[in-house]
Amino acid sequence: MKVLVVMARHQTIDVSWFDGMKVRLDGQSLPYDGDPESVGRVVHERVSSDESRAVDAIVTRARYGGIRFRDLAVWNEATDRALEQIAPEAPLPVGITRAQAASLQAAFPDLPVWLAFETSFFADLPEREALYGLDPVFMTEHRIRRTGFHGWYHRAAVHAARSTARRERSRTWSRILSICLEPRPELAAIRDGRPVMVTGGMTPFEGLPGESSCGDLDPSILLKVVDSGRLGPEQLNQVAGEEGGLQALAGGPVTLEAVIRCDHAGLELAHTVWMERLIRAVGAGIAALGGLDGVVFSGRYAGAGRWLEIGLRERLGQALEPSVMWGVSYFSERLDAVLAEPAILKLMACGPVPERT
Amino acid sequence: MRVLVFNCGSSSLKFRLLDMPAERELAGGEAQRIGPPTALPSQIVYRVGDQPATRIEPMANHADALSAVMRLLGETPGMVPEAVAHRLVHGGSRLDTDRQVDEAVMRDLEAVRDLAPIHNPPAIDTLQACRSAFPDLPQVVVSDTAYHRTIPVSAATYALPRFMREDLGFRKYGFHGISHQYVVTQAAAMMGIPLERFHAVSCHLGSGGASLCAVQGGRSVDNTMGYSPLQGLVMSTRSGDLDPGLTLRLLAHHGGDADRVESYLNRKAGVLGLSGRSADIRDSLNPSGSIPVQERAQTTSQVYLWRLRKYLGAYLTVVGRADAIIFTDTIGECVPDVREAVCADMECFGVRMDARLNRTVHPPCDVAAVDSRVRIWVILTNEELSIARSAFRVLAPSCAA
Repeated sequence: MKVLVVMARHQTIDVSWFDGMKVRLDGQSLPYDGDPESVGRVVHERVSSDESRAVDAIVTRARYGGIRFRDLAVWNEATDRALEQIAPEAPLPVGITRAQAASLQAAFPDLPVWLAFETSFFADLPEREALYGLDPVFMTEHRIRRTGFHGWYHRAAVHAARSTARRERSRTWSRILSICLEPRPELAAIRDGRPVMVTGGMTPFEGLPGESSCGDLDPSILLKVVDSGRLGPEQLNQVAGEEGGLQALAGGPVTLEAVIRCDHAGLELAHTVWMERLIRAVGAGIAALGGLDGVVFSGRYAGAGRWLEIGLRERLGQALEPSVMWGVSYFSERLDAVLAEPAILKLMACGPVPERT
Repeated sequence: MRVLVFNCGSSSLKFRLLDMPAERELAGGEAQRIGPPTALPSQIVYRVGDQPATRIEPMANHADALSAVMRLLGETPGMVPEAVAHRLVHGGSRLDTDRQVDEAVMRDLEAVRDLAPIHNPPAIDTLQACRSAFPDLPQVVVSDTAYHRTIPVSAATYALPRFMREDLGFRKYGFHGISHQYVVTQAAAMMGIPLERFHAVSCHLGSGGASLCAVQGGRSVDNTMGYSPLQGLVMSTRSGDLDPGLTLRLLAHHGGDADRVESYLNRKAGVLGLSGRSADIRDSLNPSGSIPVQERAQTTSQVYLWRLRKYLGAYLTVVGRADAIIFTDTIGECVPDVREAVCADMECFGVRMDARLNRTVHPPCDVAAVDSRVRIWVILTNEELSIARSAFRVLAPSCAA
């Protein structure tokens, strides 16, 4: 049993092969032109016919599935129609997903292509967290709700927390803060495996500042800028998503990991601002959970969580009662391995894979 | 010293005459329906000593209202003010301390006029009229943002490009500072803790605006409101926090008309937008009507309380070892359900409420359980007294000299 995980980024496509035990067999980063319609062709060119025969399914990361997609979804006409219906909620990511999935299916007509939606973990987010302070009829009509954007890492954090609790023979971690340290970082408060709060919003702009995304803003700032004629909505969209965040505070491109480590003075502003926002999000998460059993760091910079842990222990040591005991776990697996797991489980549930000829 | 405090609304002028430093109220009231004629005439509702009264006065603008109030006070011996203090909602970075008014302050006031388009212009116009009519009367301007000047850069900075932070001046200012400062000072005094060692979260929950303030050593270190009073909690008609992407989508929906979106988010969102019926959270906490109406009311109260609870947890963490949570203003003082809901299940922060006390409260009162490390105070705010204290602090040295 083998699964091929495909993750298309801006200029590269990461492809990885996993066996039935979730062991990573191989992986490559393929350059491409960024066109989602060319993903299937580029992957097919790389994957030899022997390799493709050996693979039982393809899994590709899909950024947005709204509340419609709550699990892996196999790509077919019905899925495409459903995606078309939710496209107005997030036109760009849904459009990319549809084009990528179609191109993969065209390139590998005999293989199931599964879509792993990042938002599926948050499909049942309670209304009190998902809604904004606006007319709910308007929000329903325009499909406005908080969704969260790193669902697979948060889902994996739940499993990592369970493993850590088992390993350390501590009581079950039922109240978890999952801190995903990706270029667009996100914190989720998870109770008994279900999210109750998340910093990400309707778009990934909201929440903690990212490497290039602004994070929380007073809404009137954007309106004031438009009103002044300094920038238009399109330019502001660019500022909020691509020119803001940590790089704006550091004065140039920077990684979240470098900001967390803060090993030179030029990063101090970005570091202190980000840490303050994180502390607030942690406190909000603990209030949402009504306590804390564990913190799980994940994402490509999960290792930087070790620096954060020191600061968090100090701050929470003051804010929380001494009787509150909480542990820390580091989930350093790559996202491709996280995506492979549910696909393998799904394949196993489907029974023995018929041998291909 | 008799200090006359003016608190300007868009069509009203509240006033209070206080004898300082004894803090004795001599007179007070409100000039109502200032502006173009309406179906009902402009009037001043007031009391001098213990005598309540109403006087019909034509008041086309705030300058007329000021003159009427001064005439009214002048009719009673011993009621002539010796100093005037004006409340300013948004002092920006220019007026981040309480200042005696002079030419330089007037220039700064003009520079911040548009920062709060509804509140600042009438306050500045009233001040200007007062200065023209009574040039020898010392005047002080006290801003709601001044208390928050101690918010550190780490909390005041938005992750925006430098030109937006520095050239356009976008940063967190924080609001309701006069009220937060008052209740924090009162709570510290009642707990017998020196202000410079007092840590707390102050919850100013008005029937209109609302904000939380994180306080360390008696100083504001964070406030839920931001550059404007729109950010933060869900308020009566204000949305509070919004995804920046959502703000941009609303702009697109309204054809790029920023004024329209701003008006919508300030006047038709929040509790009013969520409930569709009432801007008062009390109506959603105790709903009546059809099942769909009640369900919508329930959603409204849940969203309102949840946002409040998250910010309370955030600020208890920011503050560190909090001594107290303080509830004030209309909702904070009068709605025990709100206090109970946001303080429930917060034992991890050392917060335990005495449910019985909370329901029978007569402010000022501590409604925390005996074994609660963090005390929970309900304190009536008194912004006018806080302004008079600030004015007295500013003027007392020059009077003594």
